Amino acid sequence: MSKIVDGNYTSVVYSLIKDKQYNDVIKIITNMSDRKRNTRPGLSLLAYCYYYTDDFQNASTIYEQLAALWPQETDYKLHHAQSLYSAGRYEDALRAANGITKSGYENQVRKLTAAIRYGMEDIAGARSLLETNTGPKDDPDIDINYGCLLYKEDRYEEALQKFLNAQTMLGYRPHLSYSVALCYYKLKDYTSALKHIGDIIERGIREHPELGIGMTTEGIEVRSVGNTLTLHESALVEAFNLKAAIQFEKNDIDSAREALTDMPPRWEEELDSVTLHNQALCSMDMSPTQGFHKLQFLMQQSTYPQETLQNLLILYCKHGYHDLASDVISTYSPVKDKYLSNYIREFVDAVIAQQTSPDDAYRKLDNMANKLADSLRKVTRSVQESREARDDKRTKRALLDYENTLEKFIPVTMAQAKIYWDLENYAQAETIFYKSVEFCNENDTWRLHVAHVLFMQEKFKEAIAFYEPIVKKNYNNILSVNAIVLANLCVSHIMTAQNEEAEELMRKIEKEEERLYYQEPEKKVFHLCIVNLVIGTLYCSKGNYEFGISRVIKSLEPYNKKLGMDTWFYAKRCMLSLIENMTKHIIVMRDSFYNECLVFLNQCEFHGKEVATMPDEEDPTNKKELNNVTCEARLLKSLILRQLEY
Amino acid sequence: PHNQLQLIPPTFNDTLPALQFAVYPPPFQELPSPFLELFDLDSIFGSEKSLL
Repeated sequence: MSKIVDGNYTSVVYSLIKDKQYNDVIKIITNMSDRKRNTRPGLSLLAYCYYYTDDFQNASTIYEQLAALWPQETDYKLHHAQSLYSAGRYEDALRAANGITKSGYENQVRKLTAAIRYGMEDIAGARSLLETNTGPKDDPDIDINYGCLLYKEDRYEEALQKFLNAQTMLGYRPHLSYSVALCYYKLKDYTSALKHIGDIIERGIREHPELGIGMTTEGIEVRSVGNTLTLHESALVEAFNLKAAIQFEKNDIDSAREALTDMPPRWEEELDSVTLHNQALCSMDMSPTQGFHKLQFLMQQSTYPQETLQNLLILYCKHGYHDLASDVISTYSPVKDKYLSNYIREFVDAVIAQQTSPDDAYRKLDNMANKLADSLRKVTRSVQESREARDDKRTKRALLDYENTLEKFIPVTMAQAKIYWDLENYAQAETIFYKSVEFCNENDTWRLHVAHVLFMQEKFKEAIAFYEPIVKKNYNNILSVNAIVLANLCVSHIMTAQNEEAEELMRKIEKEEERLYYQEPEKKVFHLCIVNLVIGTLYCSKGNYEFGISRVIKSLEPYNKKLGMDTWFYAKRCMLSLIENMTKHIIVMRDSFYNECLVFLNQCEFHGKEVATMPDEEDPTNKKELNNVTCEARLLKSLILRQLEY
Repeated sequence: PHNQLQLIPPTFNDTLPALQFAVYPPPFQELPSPFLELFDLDSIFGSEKSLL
């Protein structure tokens, strides 16, 4: 920046402030000699600019200095307390606010103290301050603040009403629209929530093109817009995070990710903890390491979003890091994990226990399941009662309550069934599922796994009744259905002498795969391959190797596309079973069949050099060169040739 | 003892409690941001010469 000419300081500095070039002003003033800088104008403008760049830490230091140098100026004391509050230093802010005793400031101090109490999650404290308020009675701020307290008490409908009231009085305010959207989100009315978020974003794009909304998603490199008061006042960071949350709950992770990249761009070190936390969740399926880093980083800060600990624990369980989960549970109790619900704590506890004692885990889960089933029955009664009383509001609340409790119940009952599933005790797993039929009958995950346990017990007719609706529901987009579901349905049809149904389904899959190939030739699909493998395995397991193996062979064509670690695993299982039965002279095959097998294995040998047969980290023999399909295909070939007494 | 070839067992998907995105709480109405004080800066920040 060029040097300012004498006589131009006033006009240059105030123009910069008017243009929101606060960082330039900060640079000018901090570069001055102490004698000039430590004057009232120097410090006052410096503090002001720090505040407006969201640098509340520095703002509070300078306002504190001003308050000490000019003790008669109570506003400096107020700004000092205010900056501490904005920096999240609530205890310090309270002390500073309590130090302001000058008459005429009571209302402002009370208002600020209430905000600090609210920030500290001291809802009762904030409420009592609000109730002794002596300001004007029709102040819409009062509605807003009561709305905030009601929200914190989970009374979302009443909170929403307060915010809507304030909106009628004040007109459009970004933060108010955000609060409204937030209540709709909690009430699971996502359409209304998204509408209000849309308003905030639309206004943001129109009024602040400089914030670069959506640019990053478009692939345009934009430099950070920084954490300015403008950004803060636009409520965009809040809105985009809420949008991501809604998309995630709607199971649309891509849109959730997009909502986060649409946000005005900032450097990673400038990100607020809520955004960082949500970015971590979005990156878990693509780069879990990065996601874990972010969450672990957040946990080391003095404050972090209250969801952090719970999510970290769930993700540790998901990725099998049970030791880390149990470390975290013991390290972070009981002061820091005040946000961890009993439900999550008990659940994680059971998952950890499962590693050493399935019995113990089962008992823990059973306790939870019983408690939750009781609540579900209670809520069901409440739904019925409020319906009979024609109380719509109460019915809606009770239904929401039911939905939320069911969301807790399902993982518990699934984890219980999983314990038996892992023991291959499918009958007992089925019993567990039927214990929860009254609650879960409409739930897709539950129905899918009921189908699986029926299938594994070869109760094919019953399995169809559970698999088929899942397939029917997605018939127009059949490749969106998990391949194993399609495969098992085909097998179930075949086993109940409904071969035509199976064939029709397979034709449908084949057609869809061909269509997809023309649209996106690079995209890999394994649906038909898996269906053929599962059917092939079925026939082999029933002793019909000729038909079974021919299916397996067909499943891997073309080899360069379909040969992979998993597909080879299942193909080789069938081959080995064939060879075992040949060795025992249980079966004898035609010569032409052996030739087919040898041709197949030759192909696998040819295409399988780069296809590993086990994941890198699971190779204890350190003979990596042997763990590829080419090697194993040769081995199988030699076994067959020996059978043929070559 | 050998295992008879069995059906391919489907994977049991662990359903864990849903992850929760973080959202900002509704903002409490705080005080308005600090106001801008007006000063004649040239009488303070100017060079020695001009001040003289």
